[in-house]
Amino acid sequence: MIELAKARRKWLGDAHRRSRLCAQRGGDQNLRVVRFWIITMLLVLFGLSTLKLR
Amino acid sequence: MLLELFQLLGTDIRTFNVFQYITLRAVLAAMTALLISFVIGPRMIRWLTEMKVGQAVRDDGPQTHLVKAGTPTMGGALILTAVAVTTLLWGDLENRYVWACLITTIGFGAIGWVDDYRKVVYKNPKGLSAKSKMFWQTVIAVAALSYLAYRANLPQQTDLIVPFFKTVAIPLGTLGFIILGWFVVVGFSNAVNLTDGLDGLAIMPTVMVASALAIFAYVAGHKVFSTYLGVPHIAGAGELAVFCGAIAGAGLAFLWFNAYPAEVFMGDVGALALGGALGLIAVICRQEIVLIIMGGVFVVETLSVMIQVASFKLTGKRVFRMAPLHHHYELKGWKENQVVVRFWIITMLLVLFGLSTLKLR
Repeated sequence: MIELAKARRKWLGDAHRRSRLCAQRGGDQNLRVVRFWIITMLLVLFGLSTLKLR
Repeated sequence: MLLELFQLLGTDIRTFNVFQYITLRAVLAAMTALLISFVIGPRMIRWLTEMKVGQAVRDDGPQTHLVKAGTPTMGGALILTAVAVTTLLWGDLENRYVWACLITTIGFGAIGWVDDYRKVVYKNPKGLSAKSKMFWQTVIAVAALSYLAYRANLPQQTDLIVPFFKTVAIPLGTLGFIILGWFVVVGFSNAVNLTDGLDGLAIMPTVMVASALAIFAYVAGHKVFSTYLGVPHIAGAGELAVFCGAIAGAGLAFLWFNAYPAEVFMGDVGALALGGALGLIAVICRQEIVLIIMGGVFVVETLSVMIQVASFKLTGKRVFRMAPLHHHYELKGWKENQVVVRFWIITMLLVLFGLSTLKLR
């Protein structure tokens, strides 16, 4: 019984850590994605400026 | 400032005359504002963190937002600094529209600053009361609009232009112009403020709408293009493209720090100022209705709050799970990122639709 409770606690602890890591990774991933979008937007703006700057 | 310098240098070296072009200065303004924000941004965030200018999170809001408590706010000051410095550098400082927009934006930012300061530094949860906020917003908006109405010398500068109709222009008169202008400027200022509830939700639509308004301002200020497209010609309005470029550049750089998970929030200082700026630019270019279309996300967010309050007072029932609308979708199970990006997509479509009114007349 005690072993079972220990295993369950360990599993819950792991799950909690996993979910925290996942959330953190999701947040970081979103940040990276948005920053790459911003860089792309700037490159597009720069590309468009070649229309006028000739 | 630089325009005068380049004009002077242009008399001897013709290459410098390239800086007379509004389009080039608008792009350079965007780049400059972006650079200024990237340089100042991290320092300002560190300073705001050290000063403990942390956002208080509403305890009746979604539970997932509680972790955001303490994130530095008043980051809008970064946007305003970048926009002001850039406009002073690249704008034509003899243009009255540039000054009207710049002073109004800083004025609205000052109201937001006082509100934020009272909330986070004095720990007064109410900040500036709604009545005083509205009073000062009205004072600034009416002052700017009265100036524009007083200096307007052609009916097309005060008529209400209806999109999709080339020949329909409703004469408003001075009073009508000021009343409609007040509604747009103050309404949009508060609408952006209400939308600013999720990381990056308010700033990206602001960037998109400002970029589209830059095109409208450029066309309105260009005699040939405005005649060809059937848009009212507002002499001098083209210079607002530089101001819009500065907003877009500063906004994009702010998004770098404000994207989920946000390092900083813009606070009322940014939201009120940016909303007021968008409203006034649209009023000057006579594109109020188009602004309502392009800023549909801001409008719908505001309407959701109004409907929720009215419904609760009249029937005791709530229409949405929570207002503003972005919280409703969060409580329906959408992730914060999903709400934000989906609202961006909607704004992108609305901006495209708004831009189509340039040709479809």
